Amino acid sequence: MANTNVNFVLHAHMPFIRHPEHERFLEEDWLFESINESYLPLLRMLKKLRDNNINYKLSICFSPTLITMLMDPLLRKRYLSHVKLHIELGKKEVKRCAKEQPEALEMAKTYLKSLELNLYEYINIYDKNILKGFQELKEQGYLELLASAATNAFFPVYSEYPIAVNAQVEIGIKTFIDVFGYEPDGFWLPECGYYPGLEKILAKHNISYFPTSSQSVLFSETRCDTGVYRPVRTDNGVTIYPRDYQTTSLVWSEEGYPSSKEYREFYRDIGYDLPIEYIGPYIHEPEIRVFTGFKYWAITQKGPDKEYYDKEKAMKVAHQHALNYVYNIAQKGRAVRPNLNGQDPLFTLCFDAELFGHWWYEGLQWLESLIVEQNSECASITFVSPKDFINNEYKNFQVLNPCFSSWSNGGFAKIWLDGSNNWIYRHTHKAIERIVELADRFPMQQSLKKRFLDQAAREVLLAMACDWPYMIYNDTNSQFAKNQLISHLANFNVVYSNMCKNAVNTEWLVKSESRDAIFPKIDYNIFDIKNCQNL
Amino acid sequence: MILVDIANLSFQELKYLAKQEGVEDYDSLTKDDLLDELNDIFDIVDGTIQLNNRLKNTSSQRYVNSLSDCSTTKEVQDLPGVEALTQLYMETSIHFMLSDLSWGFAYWSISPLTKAKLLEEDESYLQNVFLRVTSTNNETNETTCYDIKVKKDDTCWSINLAELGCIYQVSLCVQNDARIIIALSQSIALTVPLPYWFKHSQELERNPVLFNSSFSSIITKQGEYKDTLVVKSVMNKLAHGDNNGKY
Repeated sequence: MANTNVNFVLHAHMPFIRHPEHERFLEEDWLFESINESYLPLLRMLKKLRDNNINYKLSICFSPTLITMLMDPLLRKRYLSHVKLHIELGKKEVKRCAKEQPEALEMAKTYLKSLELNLYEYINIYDKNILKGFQELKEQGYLELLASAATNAFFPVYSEYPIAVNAQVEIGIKTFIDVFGYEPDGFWLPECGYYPGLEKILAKHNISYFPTSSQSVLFSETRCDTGVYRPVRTDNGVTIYPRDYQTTSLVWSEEGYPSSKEYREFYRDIGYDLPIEYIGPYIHEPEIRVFTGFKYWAITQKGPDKEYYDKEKAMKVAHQHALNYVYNIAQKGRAVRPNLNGQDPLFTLCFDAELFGHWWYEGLQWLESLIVEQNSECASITFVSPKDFINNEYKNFQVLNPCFSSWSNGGFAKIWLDGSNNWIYRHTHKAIERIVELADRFPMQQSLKKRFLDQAAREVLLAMACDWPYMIYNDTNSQFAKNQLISHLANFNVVYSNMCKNAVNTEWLVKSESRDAIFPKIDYNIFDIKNCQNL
Repeated sequence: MILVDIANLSFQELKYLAKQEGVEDYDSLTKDDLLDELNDIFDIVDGTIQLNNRLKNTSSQRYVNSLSDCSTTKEVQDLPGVEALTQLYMETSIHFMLSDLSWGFAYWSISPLTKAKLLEEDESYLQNVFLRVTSTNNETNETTCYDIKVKKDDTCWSINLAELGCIYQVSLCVQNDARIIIALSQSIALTVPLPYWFKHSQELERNPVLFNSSFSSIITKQGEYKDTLVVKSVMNKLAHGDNNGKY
């Protein structure tokens, strides 16, 4: 039976948010929520499938900032406090619901059980390092792990500075090697942001493939014979897996599966619904209401009138949606096959990992059903490993030069070069020019000066994160994003102005290293122009 | 993850650090004594240096840039000890980036030195600042340019890129009353490709399978296509015929 291949890629990412100077920091909760609702449940589901002899191949990218935060002792400790606090809330909720809101009791129990399981597994199975779980699945052949840019920089806006792009790639890969112990084959371009020539930098670091957006091949100057339904390769041999926007949008769009009325409503949470005297200890001071993860309502319809969430019913819908997804891919596979010269189509489907479980509560059930279905005897689709696919079919890939593109709305860079955020680049570009200048003026420093310059390199990379302009564009947490960005740039400027006076501010350095504790092995000489002359 | 191990610092560095932390007689202490003093000041928990209460109280005013409160709306640069980000840098330069295949974004600055020189030479120069956008067609090598008049206080501009398949470059220029033009700075050159399907949309017209395997990838289940000018233009061409590379 003719088959349709699927390269299913999950991208797990969090911007670097770590504030030891505060006892609790609101935006650090993003990480804890993702661990509780996405990463640990995903790991449980994948291990369950493995134990049930279900064969699958998935690709996952953990961004270096997320890796750092997952490995960070302070954030690990804070995660434990977070989960314990929410277990306490769960116990209170079970009692409260039994008395006052019986329709929500089952879900309160479900959330409590999940939190208790998370706590148990986090300590007893993973010894606070959940990446070990993913690595185990990788070693057993179920997962392929991709590296990514150091701080999720959107590369097209830095094409003028290949040295900075190279630093992002190199440090991203080094972080990957430090944690997983081997060189990655695949690389996730943040926001699938590609510009012509980027593949040279990736090839220099032995990257053999990367996913891109549909536009990368669709708007190429070369006719792409196979559309986005087969990988292509660049003239320097790096393979590109173009994403199929259409199939992805069945999930990820306003009318996608997650918007079905039976599914859990993300935005109705007891953190906002219950009286402050009850919920006070579980939100942020002073009385800043936040999501607690305890959500009892179904999407139902637009507006405030909601029905109670029925988990059993919703999970059945998720299963049906998975079958529908398989059907759609297979149908489309059949439709495009005549144009592929007898070769099997391959659909590259990329999603944010946090969609599954966190944003879309039933998403993990959907993914589980999808994986089980692709493993069935009469399956019309098969999940494949991009690395294996290259090994088997590389010679058949068309060679072309992809077009500048991203996976954002519109397919290019408009989100990151919007009127609201384009002021950023004057500063980040200048910071890059200045760190290059410092690396040139003060090469191969030792001891304190080296640490000072290394910290400057960290701050430049952190300022390059595309999360800040995205939040500013989206007007979600935009003041926070501005402050984070300005803080990184201001930190860099402390080093720059001190080094121009040939001084080192030791106390600042110690504190700055302690706060922006990322990339411990960074060497600022990565910004030495001599190391980057052929890029 | 141990990032700062003060035991690895030099004697001089320890002395400097002790001085910064207000250790009395830091100059007469041995290395071990300095380490003891500093270890008392820094609590090392799980390999991360924490500040104890004393230090928090004494230093929070001095090093606010590492203690800025990112969860408030307070601007970091308003705090003492932090350099505000400058609006413009002391240099003359222009930078150019692509927003998509039909728009670019340029930002620039003119240094005080350059301004002073221009004023000295002929003050009318700074009354006529403009951007010169040069496009070179990749196929014909034909170069065209057009100017965008900007105000002397403008520092950025979104630039329409009217033609595909061209290399674009933007120059920051001034002109005096005698019409003498000086190019102060030139951006990098960026290529806007001419997508194959833009030029060969007729192939799609005759081949629904080809159309499906190419353009269906950006069409939603509701039948809408991802909104880009290039796709719109290809669709228009399919519907109404060629429009000569312009869109």
